[in-house]
Amino acid sequence: MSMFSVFNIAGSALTAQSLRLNAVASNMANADSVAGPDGKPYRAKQVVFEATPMGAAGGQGVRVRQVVEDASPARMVYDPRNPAANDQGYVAMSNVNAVEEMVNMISASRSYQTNADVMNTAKTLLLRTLQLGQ
Amino acid sequence: MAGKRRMDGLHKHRRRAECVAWHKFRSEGGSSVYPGVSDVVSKLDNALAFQQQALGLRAYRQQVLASNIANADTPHYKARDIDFSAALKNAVAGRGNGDLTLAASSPRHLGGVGTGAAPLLYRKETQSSVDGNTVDMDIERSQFAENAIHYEAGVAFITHHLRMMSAAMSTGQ
Repeated sequence: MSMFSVFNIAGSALTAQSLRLNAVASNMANADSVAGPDGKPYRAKQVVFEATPMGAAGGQGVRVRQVVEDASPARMVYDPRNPAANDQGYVAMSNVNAVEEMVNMISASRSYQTNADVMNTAKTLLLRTLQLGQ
Repeated sequence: MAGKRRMDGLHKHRRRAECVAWHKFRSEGGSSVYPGVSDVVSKLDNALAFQQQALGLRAYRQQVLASNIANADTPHYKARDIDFSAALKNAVAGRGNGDLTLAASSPRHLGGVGTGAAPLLYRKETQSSVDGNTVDMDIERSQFAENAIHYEAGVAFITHHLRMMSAAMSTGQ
């Protein structure tokens, strides 16, 4: 029954989008972090999506293939009084771009809502089918 | 799926044979405990067959559209869809949609047609994006809603058909 695989497909998208939202939250929380747990400045994390076969022929769900770290250089801030400052008085801050993260967040939440809508529609249709002939 | 479809075909075939046999039986002056039962059942079957096929295809299309919506942010994903009217025409005519005809290397081989799912086509791109994704959320959302309404309409058709049948059966009681 292909209507049931709609749940799996939309569910996989919900999981993937919530992972993306998680990454955004982590990035935003660490936007002003000087050093991460390894002693190096925090690097923004981005999720990479990948289509994955699901359900009947042709059904494609989505999953997170990997979480990559943003390779852009750390933001250098002049603050000689900071204990983490280098010889020239610059502190290496995280490379999180707040604007990019906000855009990412809005996009993720819109996608999440859409997929929740898809699930709701599928549920309605299945219920209608159950009431067939009544 | 191919097996099921073929089973249905066989079933119908058997039903028709049954009907013929029953007509013969009746014309020869025989009597049955439930005269005409198989006749009624096969008529009911035939009346609902079209809507049943349409509903199956609608459910399949709903899944394909859900895949598109789920992969709206996946790089290099290409939006897919089926040609609904062509698929329905094929399904009603009993032709295989997936072009799974058995190859025959001798004229004495039996022909066979497998019935695959409706062939998946690629959607035409409206605005290309840098990551190679061709999902246009507006199109997908509207198609999804439209397909859902058609599905509900199919369910309503079947419901009314069944009601009509039961009304016809219960008249005079």
